[in-house]
Amino acid sequence: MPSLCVADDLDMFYAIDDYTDPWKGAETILMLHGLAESHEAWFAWVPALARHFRIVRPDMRGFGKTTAMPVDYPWNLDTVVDDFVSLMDALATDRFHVIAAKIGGTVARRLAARFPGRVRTLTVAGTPPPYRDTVAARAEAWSKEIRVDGIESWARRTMLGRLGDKFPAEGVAWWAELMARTAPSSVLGSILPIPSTDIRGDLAKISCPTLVITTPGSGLGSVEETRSWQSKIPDSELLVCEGNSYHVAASHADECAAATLRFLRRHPGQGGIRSFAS
Amino acid sequence: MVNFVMDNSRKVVVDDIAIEYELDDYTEPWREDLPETVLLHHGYCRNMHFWRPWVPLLADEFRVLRLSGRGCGGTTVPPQQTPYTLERLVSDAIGLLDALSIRRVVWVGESSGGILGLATALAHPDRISALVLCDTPFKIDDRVADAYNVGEADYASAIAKHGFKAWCLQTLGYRIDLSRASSSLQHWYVEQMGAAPEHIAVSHHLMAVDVDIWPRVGEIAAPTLIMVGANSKLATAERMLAMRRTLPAAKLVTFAGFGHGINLIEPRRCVAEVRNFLTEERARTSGGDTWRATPIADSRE
Repeated sequence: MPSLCVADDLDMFYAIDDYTDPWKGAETILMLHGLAESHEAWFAWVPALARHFRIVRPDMRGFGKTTAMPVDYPWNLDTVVDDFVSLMDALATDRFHVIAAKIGGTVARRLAARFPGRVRTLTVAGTPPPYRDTVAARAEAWSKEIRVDGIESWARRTMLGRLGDKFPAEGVAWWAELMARTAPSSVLGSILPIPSTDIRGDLAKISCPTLVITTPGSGLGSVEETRSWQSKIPDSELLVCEGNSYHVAASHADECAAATLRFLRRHPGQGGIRSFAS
Repeated sequence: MVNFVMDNSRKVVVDDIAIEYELDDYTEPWREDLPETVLLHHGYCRNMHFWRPWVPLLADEFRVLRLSGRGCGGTTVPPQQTPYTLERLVSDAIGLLDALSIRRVVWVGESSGGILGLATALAHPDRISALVLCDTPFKIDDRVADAYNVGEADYASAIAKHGFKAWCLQTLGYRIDLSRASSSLQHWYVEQMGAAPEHIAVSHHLMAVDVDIWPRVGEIAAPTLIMVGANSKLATAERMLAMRRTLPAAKLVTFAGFGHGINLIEPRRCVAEVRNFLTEERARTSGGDTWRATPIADSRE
């Protein structure tokens, strides 16, 4: 699988899942994972989407097989956005759909607000509200826990909230192991600056059709709290899946992917399909 | 400008060649048992990319293995004098399975990829759990062989005179239903297939004309699904019926109104038939019995 140098300090790894008819054009989806994950987080979504769309699944700065960041790296949400935009530039992809989970949804909302001409649609599943004043205290506690007990222990302890109480134990173990493969310096450095970025001002600037997915029991906020920020995105809708997981993209992967495919079909790209260099 | 990478195909060395392959797995990584592997084998001078539409339709439940055969796609082109035999192609595929530690597969072959599946099932019955033959003629008949010579004395002269890509275009109607394939599909088909080296095209053709697997078809115990476009000029209706009668455990599904190339023209329906067939087979073998030859109902649109 390939990687590209998208910034001076970054080799970005990405997977391509393209099972569209090679003799036709196809639109592209960019999928953005959450903190301490990688492109692997999206495995269950691919069969549902990849017959119809080219999928680009990068590993975010610091995570997966993309270059790890030192603990004192000055994280900035806009740099992370720029990384992904550079990747899509390098892949000669002008316009694309974005699907994102967890903190990937924060990155995606900023991306859609800054680059309205490039994002065809936005889907965010299990993503935090645009601003939380509790992030600093939580980040401090989690950093301490990660330094003392390691990422896997932290990931395992917090997995009930992520995946809910209906997820199989083997699946919980796999997700904890996925997160445990992350470079601790990348988690420790990003765990405060990225989630604490205030993106409230971005919501009104998101001009593309947007789908927000959550659960009633999500630790990221009640359905009403989610609706309160979702409704500030002009052309947006809310989907509520049953359960108490906040990582709904993982816990309800098939249901989310099917709903997202329906959403994408209701919003076909306008102005045709960009041809790729080949 | 960096080109969009269309695939992430990998290579593994088997004997004298590096085989281009992809093993796609989108099943739950925490499953207890490895899922079954479905091997997709292309036909004459084609490559693994001809199966792209099938992968996501299978990949939620199965691991999907695609490869490009000897001299095709990104797989090594052997030198001109290297013997090109059915046995060699079978051992290439088995070598790939060994390298990937895959014990058994459901072998899906389109056109001559199905003949290769039959040959593999004969030589290595323990490696094939089921066979799917898609528009597979078990023999190239004289009429088709004549047509393939496009008026020249023999096939090698035809290819030497016209060039392989031009020959592909001239004879495309044997390979894909021109009334149903879009012009962009036809163009893509010729570009992909026509990229095969001429000596591979000639060697493979001579092998296909020479080989006759028919006398041993009755020995194949693997449950087999035969799918065919009713109007295929290569895999003719009466031959498919004979094949179904001779194979000990075969089901025949005929796509009425379609010619050759249903794997590309009707991928969704083809995969639905494959999944249905494998589900029926699982039901038949549940309870731990080994598979028994019992009559299987045919279906026709």
